[in-house]
Amino acid sequence: MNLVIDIGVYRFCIQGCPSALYPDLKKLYSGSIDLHLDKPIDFYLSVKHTSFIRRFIKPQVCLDIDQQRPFNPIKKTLLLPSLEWGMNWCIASFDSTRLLIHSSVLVKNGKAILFPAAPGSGKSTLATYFGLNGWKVYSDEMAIINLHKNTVKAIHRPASLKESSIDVIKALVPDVVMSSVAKGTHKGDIAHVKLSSRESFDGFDDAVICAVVLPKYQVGAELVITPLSQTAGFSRLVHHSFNYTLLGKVGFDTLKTVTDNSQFFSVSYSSYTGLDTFLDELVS
Amino acid sequence: MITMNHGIECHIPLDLSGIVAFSTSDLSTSFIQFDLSDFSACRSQDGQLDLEKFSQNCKNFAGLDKLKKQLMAHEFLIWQQ
Repeated sequence: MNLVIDIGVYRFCIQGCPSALYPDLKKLYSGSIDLHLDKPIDFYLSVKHTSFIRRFIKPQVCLDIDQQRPFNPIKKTLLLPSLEWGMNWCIASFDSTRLLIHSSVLVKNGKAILFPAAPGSGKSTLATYFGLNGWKVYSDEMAIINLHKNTVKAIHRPASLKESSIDVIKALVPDVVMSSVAKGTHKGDIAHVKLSSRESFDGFDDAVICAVVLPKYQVGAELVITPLSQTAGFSRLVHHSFNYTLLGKVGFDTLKTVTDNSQFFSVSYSSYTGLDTFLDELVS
Repeated sequence: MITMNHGIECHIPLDLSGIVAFSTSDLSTSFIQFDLSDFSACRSQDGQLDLEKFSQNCKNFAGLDKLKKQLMAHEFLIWQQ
């Protein structure tokens, strides 16, 4: 089956989507599937079998993107996370009309906090927890910053949880809407969490960036909040950007604007107690 | 008088914590962090430097020499007599 997923800024057409995947997609993207069918598609993702035999023996599929095959074949059971990673890859590789930073984005009172971090730092878990507790999650993966402006865009995507984070969020928020768990990806077990309805997402206007927090989850760590200089913060944003170099001077000018209007912190934590107060103060 | 090297566009963040230099020729970005501890009296409670105080202190403050030396050590600025 073919379906269109509209995540706000971008539109994806999933071709050859197995019917077994549809319940999870519907759970995560309800309201955004086959929306605005009259609008153009930005990216075509095609699910294809690698061979006749591999349909039946250790089934595997390929994910083609705009008729290219950038990834190795995957187990059919890992299609959902691969589809999500493929969508991330499309945005990070091809959108040069905005500055993209590997970061989750939380918004409250119209003010945005960026959480740029390397994989495994806990940014998605953090975004999921706060997204289910009063904050708007503009993305758990990518800050989409308007060029020359200090504002960030929202995309309607689920958050991606890994390994023990899955049980942590289930324990903290028992009624969470979660996909089935894809076991044994190269990042471990993966599940996706729905963070907002389409109706509420449609009210997510561009938000003003007011702070950048570099998160580091450490088991058993006490909450330690360390202010960073704007120069150090600028450096970290460049480090975590997908397309800063590609944008050249426009990227530099955009980060100048973001840096001059933001406070920067690094945060070590093992629980969200205390962190919630700190984040609330940043956007008050 | 202080002269910037050619082909480099600079940005000094509002907290005056350093210089971010963008090369228009190879599109690279470099960072120089300043040690502005000598200017701590010029900072307000939120950590931002009070530019007016900073400017006044620079006129007769030994820290300014230190700052210039930091810049020149990176061959980022050329001091012209």
